[in-house]
Amino acid sequence: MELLSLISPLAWRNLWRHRRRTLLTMLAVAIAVAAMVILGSFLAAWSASAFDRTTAALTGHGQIHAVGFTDDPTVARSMAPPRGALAATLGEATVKAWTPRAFAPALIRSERESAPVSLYGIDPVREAAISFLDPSDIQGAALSDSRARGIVIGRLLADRLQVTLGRRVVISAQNVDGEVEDVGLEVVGIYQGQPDLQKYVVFVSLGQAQAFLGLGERLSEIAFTASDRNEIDTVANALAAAAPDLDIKRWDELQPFASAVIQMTNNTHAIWVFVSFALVSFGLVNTIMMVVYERMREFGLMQALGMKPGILITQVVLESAYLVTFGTFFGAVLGAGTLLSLDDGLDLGSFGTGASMFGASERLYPVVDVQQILVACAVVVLLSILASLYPVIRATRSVPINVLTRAQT
Amino acid sequence: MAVIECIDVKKTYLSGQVEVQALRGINLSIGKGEFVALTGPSGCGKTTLLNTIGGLDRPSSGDVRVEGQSLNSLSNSDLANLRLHRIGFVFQAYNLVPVLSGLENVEFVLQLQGVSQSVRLRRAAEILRSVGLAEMQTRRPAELSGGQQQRVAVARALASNPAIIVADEPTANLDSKTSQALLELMRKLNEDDGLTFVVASHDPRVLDFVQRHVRLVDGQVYSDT
Repeated sequence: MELLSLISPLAWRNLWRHRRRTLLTMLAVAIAVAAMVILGSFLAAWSASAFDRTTAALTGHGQIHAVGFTDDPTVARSMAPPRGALAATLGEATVKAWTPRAFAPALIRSERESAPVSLYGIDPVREAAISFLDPSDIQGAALSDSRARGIVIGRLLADRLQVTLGRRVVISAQNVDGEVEDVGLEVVGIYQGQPDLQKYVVFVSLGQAQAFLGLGERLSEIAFTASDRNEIDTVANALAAAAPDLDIKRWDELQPFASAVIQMTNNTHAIWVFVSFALVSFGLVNTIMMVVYERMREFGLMQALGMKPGILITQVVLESAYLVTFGTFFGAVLGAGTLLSLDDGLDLGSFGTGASMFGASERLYPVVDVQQILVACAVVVLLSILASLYPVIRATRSVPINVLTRAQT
Repeated sequence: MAVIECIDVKKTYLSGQVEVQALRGINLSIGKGEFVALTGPSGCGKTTLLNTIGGLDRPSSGDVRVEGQSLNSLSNSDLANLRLHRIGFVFQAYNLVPVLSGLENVEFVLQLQGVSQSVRLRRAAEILRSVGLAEMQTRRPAELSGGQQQRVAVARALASNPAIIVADEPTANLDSKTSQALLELMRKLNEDDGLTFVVASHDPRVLDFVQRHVRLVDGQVYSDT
């Protein structure tokens, strides 16, 4: 305490000997920290948005299939509905929701056009808990239950086929026996979400698809979500243990491109943090070096008077600590304030299409993660203090007489 | 008993590529309470000898003993302790800490010694009063004249209650009146408190105040009167 009462006022007063330089250095630290906070939050929002969109686009946090289905997704590779250990695991608290599906590659025809599609038979109630099919986002009627008649197609596909609600389309697909089946269905709903899915994903009720494809009660896939994103691995491992004869894959295995984009976003965040910190620390080291070399004579004097090098080092480190701590505080406030002013989200505008190609939504919602900001600030302060040690340790290696003599001549 | 003993002290240093012999075997003994002037032409080794006596520099060979303690045997940390507790310095260019007031500059040494706040405040104020700066305590060095700054430097040197005060050209930057006042102050401290002073100076007026005059030429003692 005695030591602190000696060097603390000294450090504070020394900080303001060159007011303009101190303020400029603080400003540089503040801007770097604010940029770190703001960009970090945006990249985190981008990453979260890409994750949400990817997992909501039918993938879920993971899927269960018959072995070989993901390499050759035909109707013949099916599995029984969940029973026993698998049903019990899907009922555990770590599993937020799950939904059964039938699937087949198919051809859809209207009176004017035809297109290849992915036909999904779904349980609409369970599906709503996992994927993007929000009934309020569907023009017309959503499928009411797993036995409902009719088909829901995407807006872009409807435009291509030139069909509207109430018109009939024909679906052709191979059944489990390898024979091509045709069925005429009324377009009961047109969905709007997920532009990239609108062109080729169509939905019918699970019962209707199972009957049409000759599956009986069998399923093509089960999609599931975990209660907590951090528990996905645990859930996938539990399901794999419960159903060793089935193929359980996490979302990142099913969507490697999206996973790579999210990983790249996270890496970009880390690189940005590193670059920001490097700029801060170089600026700080430069300032501290100037401070040290300007005051070599003073440091020599203090050592001549009997101040030990350790106390001198502590004093200069305290000056850097004041400088960086205040700069970091103002930067964090500036960054958090900027983010709070964007609580309606940031419309990416013309960049939105590009963003959606990389899995993110066209409007990002950056959040103020107080813990993350505090950790980032603590890291900046600590590393900057470490960086400031170099010049002052160098300075204290000069014996007192050297610096006194050098400064006088 | 000698407070300072220099035993065949030699000091060699490099000036660029050239080896300079600043001290060429100095033998000197200074007793307690002496007021000694070191004089001589520029480059004769006055400051080097003073720095060696003060533990700011180490001799290339030979030894310096302060109160019987060989400085060669001390680590850098021990030397720092010796400077803090037993030696007071007055430099040519005042060398005050610019962000501290006069009082704080004096108090600084006491803080380094770990003296409690109440004691050091009282002592620093007393010492400043004794050098005639009672009214200037709160002023920073930039707000003081050269003479006032040098008196603060003397006060700071006195604060640690040292056995020896070494002063390097203490009057070099002062006008004659201020120099006179400073030298009178130093002599008073020498006579009243028995402090040992070693003063290196070009200033001939210094000789009027000292008891002993050591003249150096080419790094050797030329005369000791």
